Amino acid sequence: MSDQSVTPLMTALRRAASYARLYGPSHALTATACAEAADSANGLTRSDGETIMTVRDDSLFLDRRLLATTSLEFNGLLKAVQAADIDSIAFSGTVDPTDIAALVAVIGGLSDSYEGGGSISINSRMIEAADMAPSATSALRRSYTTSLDLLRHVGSTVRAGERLDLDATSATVSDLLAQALSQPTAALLLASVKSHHEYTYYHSVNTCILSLSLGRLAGVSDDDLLLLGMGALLHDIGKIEVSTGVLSHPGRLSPEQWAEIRRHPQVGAQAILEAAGSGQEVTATVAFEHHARFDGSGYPRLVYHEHTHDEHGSPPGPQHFFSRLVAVADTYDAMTTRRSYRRAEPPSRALHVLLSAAGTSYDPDFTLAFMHMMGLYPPGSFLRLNDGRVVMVTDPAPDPDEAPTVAVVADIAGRRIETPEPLEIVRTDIAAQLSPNEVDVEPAEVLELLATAA
Amino acid sequence: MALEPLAPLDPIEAPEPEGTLAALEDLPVEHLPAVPEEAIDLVEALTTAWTTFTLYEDPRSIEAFDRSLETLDRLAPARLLIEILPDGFLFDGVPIPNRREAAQRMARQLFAHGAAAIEVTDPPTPDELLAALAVMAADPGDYNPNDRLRDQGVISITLLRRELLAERKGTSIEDDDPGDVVGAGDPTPGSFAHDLLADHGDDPEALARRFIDEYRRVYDLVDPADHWGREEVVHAFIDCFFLLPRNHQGSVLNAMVLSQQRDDSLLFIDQLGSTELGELVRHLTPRAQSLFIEYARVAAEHAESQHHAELLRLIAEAGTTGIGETVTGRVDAALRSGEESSTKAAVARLRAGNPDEAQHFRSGVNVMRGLLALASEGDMPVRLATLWAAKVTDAIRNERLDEADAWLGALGGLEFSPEHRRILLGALSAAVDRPVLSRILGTFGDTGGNPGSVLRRAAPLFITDALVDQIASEISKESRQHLTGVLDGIARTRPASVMAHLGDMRTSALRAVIGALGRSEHPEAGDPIRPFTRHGEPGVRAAAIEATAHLRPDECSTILLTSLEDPAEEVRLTAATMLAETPDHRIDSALIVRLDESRDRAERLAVVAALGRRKTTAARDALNEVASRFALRGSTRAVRRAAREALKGDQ
Repeated sequence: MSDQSVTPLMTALRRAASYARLYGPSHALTATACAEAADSANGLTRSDGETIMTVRDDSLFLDRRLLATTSLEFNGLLKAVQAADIDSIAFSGTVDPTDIAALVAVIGGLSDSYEGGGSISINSRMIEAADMAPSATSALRRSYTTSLDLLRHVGSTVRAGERLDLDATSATVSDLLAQALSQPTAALLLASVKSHHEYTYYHSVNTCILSLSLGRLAGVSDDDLLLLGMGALLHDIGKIEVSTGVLSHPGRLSPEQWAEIRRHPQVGAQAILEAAGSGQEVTATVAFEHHARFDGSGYPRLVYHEHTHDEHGSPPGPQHFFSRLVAVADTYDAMTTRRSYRRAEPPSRALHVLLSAAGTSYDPDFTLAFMHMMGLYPPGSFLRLNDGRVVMVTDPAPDPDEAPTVAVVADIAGRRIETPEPLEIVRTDIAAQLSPNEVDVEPAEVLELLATAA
Repeated sequence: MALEPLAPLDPIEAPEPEGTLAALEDLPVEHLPAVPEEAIDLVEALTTAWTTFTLYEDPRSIEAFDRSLETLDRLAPARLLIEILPDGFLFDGVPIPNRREAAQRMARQLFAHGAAAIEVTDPPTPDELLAALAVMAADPGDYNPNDRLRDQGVISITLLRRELLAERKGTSIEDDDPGDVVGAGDPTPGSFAHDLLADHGDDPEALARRFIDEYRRVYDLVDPADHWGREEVVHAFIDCFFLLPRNHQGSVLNAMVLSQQRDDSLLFIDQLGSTELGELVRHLTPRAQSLFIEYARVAAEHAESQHHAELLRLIAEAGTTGIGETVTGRVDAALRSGEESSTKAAVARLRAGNPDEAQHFRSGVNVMRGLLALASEGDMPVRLATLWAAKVTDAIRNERLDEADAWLGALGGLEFSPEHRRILLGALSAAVDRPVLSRILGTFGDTGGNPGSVLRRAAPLFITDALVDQIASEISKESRQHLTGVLDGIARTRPASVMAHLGDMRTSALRAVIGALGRSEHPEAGDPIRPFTRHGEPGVRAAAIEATAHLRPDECSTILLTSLEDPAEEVRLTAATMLAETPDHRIDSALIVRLDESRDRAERLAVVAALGRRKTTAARDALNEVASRFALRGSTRAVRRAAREALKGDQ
């Protein structure tokens, strides 16, 4: 049972809980979502008999299997489930939509207790605690979800016009930094997790991880890495004030919509600057300048470039060191993620865009360092070998002539391998890099399985 | 720009279809009839043969290939008709369970050929099977794959196109209702692609027309305000697009490019990744190619889109190599070229260029400057002004005067409207509390370029409010004098900021303000002060009289003379004192009258003193008279004594 098999159920549950809160439990939209959830749950129970979903420490287990990607992608829903004091949900027989509606009422906080029928039971069946032992990457994944939680909180804070809590941001980034430093490759791999539903938040965490890794390579001190990480994590918070209609617009924007989008760096920077104490100002700099571009051709226009000069009398580069760094990580993650207005590009393509604009839009040194860090085949990317097997890159090649470290996720006949196996390959074994749309495997899930196996 | 022909798409690079089979698998098992084992075995045998064909130069020596042949031998008499979906196979309308990715790839490839079904009618020979696999693996093109099979001598295997399949199943294509393919019922991108190819597989232009008609029909059904809904529509049709063979994709894109002035077309093209667009360009007509270049150019400018800008370069440079290979090759080359040394040098430069704490701080100030500059071009939000003021005053409060200078300096060189300036200074004034004021006043003794020099210069602009507040509440006379001295300085340089406090209701504050203005040497302050000569508080009246006399010496006689009759001694004394310095010659006689008529000792003394300073003959005569008078009362004696003293001074 993979993450993908549960995605329809989780999506429908999330939608049903949202509709129930917004429109009430008896609304047609809620009922439709509940029916979809029941169909999806039946899809699970049909193949496995009774199915038990257990939530523990932000992790979702389906029967005994940890669903790492689902745990990340549906972190918000899992929080709501835990807040409703639900530890486990068992589906048995044919799941009735009315039972789903009763479950959703509890998750949505509309009811204190489950009042549905017997196709669902709550907290009656538990997986043994031993089956839910944390893996080597659990702490890393928890840091990731904590960062997502922080951003959700930051989002509501900004929306309410209140002051950000940079101390909490600092603590969260500090934890993420510690994890990223202790498991650098796993962190890069985890940074390939995507979410269409909460794009900005996932993108921000990914950008933070990529920036911390690149910052470390660039010799940034630990204290400064913390500031860099805070800037990267918060770089897009100004988008909170951009209307959803503009952000999710699936095509070209009107001049008015563009103007609204272009305001997000200044909105974010101002919100951060309001909360920043002495020594934290650079956090706002990253938010303000991440679209400004290396040659100053982006937005907003950096007027201070025109009026300030360094001690030698020459104007400084328009973007701060951290902003130039984050711009590279930001672009890479954005391009490799499917957006409302564009399909995802494969990693090599994103690297090529950076390379093509190195020296104009992007700092050439950071671009080269980033490419070196990620390699031609970045962690979490998928390759097809000459023999037909599909592998996932778990560690980039240390040298351009060498092959990356990989794990097999599909065999010669194209069968999905339940437990990925590490494999040694040489460069000539690689037939093609696959685009994110081609492979039905979640990198975070593979990472978790590899960690568990190890 | 001339477009070079590019290499054909590697079929395995086609995106994973979100197809029909997966959707069907979600149906409850009990609703689906079982698939005969023979059908499962047939697909398994074809898949195995396909896999060995893709792996080995000559699979005839491979055992798995032989097993496939044996299975096909066994099953050929059954003449099973296996339908083809974008991601799997159907038998009699039921999905054939097969989770092998190779089976899906084979199905996708057959689907791309426009094949709707495959049938093994006779036991194939090894050569026949190999030839069939070769046809299947070739790039899809504008040909009937079954004709190609026959051309290659394959007669045991048949690939049916949709028309033939419908005929075989006893249905008619016309029975279908293409009008409801997407957006109603439960069609998927896969089923729509299937229908499109079945109906128009041999006519890419007709397929493109129907694709676009349907796309626009569904797109228009969605409320323009429903962004999520529109996104879903576009994504569904994009997914369908990628299930079509490359030449059909080219036709659709061609039509989209030719109608790119429409929002829905533009929106569709924007979805495509630049690699995909680059690969598809060669399928466009010359007119569409030139329009496409224009599209990419506008897109690059419109959104400052790196990937569109880079797409333009790639199209021009890729030549006969596919863009995908070009991209990978270039990244690889960049990682190799010089490589280790250039990467190491880049990292070394970065390590050496790490910013220090001061640069971090300066960047924050730069951001503030940027925010203020952007605000200067539109509305100045009070919130931004408040933020700037807080940064300035926090730095002062914490005695980081260099930082205070920097935050103040963020305004330097920017042009603000009077209204913006009012908002900024208002915010800064409001942020100055007593501790901050105290710190600022503490810097006034410094000189030169020490930290705080900008602050000292700018302080008069924003400390008046706090200063007046403190004067109003200051108990210590010495401190008040010091504060008043500062206020005097501000009044001399920026009288308007002090005049703004003439509305202060606190007597002590008002006296200080009027006094400072009186000493400011700015005559324009006289007019707003004059009404205060009739103020209810004697102290205020006295200050106003004095200030008026200083500021408007030629126009104050009447006020001063009137004030000599003021019920408050303080006012009368002040008026008398000021009269001494008034040039109007009528003052002498007025003073003499006051001296004669007044019974108030203090007033009379003041008048005597004033006459003594006036140096006129009339004044001296009057004093002489007073000095020579016989005096019985003590008060009169005091006045006489004062007159004599005044006359002495005159000598």
